Amino acid sequence: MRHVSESTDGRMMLVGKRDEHQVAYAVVELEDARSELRAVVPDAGRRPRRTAAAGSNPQSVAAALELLEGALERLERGAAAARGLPVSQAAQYLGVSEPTVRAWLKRGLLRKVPRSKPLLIERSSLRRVHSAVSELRARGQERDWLIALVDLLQDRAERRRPEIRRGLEDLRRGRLEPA
Amino acid sequence: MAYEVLRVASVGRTVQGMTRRERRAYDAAVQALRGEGCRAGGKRLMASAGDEYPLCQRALYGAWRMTTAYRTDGSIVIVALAKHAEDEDPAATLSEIFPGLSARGRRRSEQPLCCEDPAAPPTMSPELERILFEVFGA
Repeated sequence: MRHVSESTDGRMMLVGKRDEHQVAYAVVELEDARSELRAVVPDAGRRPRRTAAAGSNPQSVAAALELLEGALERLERGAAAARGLPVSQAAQYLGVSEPTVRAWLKRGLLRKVPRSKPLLIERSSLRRVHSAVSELRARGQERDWLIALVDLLQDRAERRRPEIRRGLEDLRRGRLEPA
Repeated sequence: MAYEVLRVASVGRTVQGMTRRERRAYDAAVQALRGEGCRAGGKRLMASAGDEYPLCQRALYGAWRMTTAYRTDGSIVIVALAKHAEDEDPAATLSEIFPGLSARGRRRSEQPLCCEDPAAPPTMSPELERILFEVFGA
């Protein structure tokens, strides 16, 4: 199925689902780039617009950021239908398998685009999980840290088991008897 | 010194449904807790911010695990008695996040003992807690 979409120069054009997904993927990556640049130049929005972004001084970064934001805005307008990524591309973007993406969807960590068929995953939830996974990857290069993390997650999963939660609730309420 | 050992009501119900062999293991664990306190608690579970009690877990017969909480008055409460289930395996997810690295925890013998610093179990930093929430959920 093909949709009418607006090109970056304002022209209307026909795009297929595959194109939409590619656009959505590009938008997600551009949003990541924008976040990175914003972290470097947080007050970029107040700087005067420049067309040349040569060099690496803060003004150049701010100008590049402004150009990027304009392009993103036009892309998002043109790709209104491309609200999310299919599972395969989401897995590629996050660097995990498709079953893991589906598991994260099931557990509510990722959100699906309502009424999407085939299933699409919302860009904002993808970016949030991507950011967390990237942080974990950055921290987890030390073996001891990773071992401690596995222990911690296993203990955390134990603590969240329903039997233990119920038991702690009973303890809080003083529903106790001799063992 | 004998420690006071209590249990929540649901643990009592679980005990009633145990086989004789499982029940013997439970009784032995309770006796050990009375006599030795936290030294018989097994391994200490790492805590999250906001957790009220230090928790420990001891393996009983087969897949049975006994989870105990330690109150400030010195009494011990058995809060859960359940079979260990591998329904959630964070190590599998971590293996995908860190391809090429074996995401395995410590052996049981290397895990922290229940009595190790029971008053101040290690907690996760709020930042790490937030990251883990995004990847592993609540």
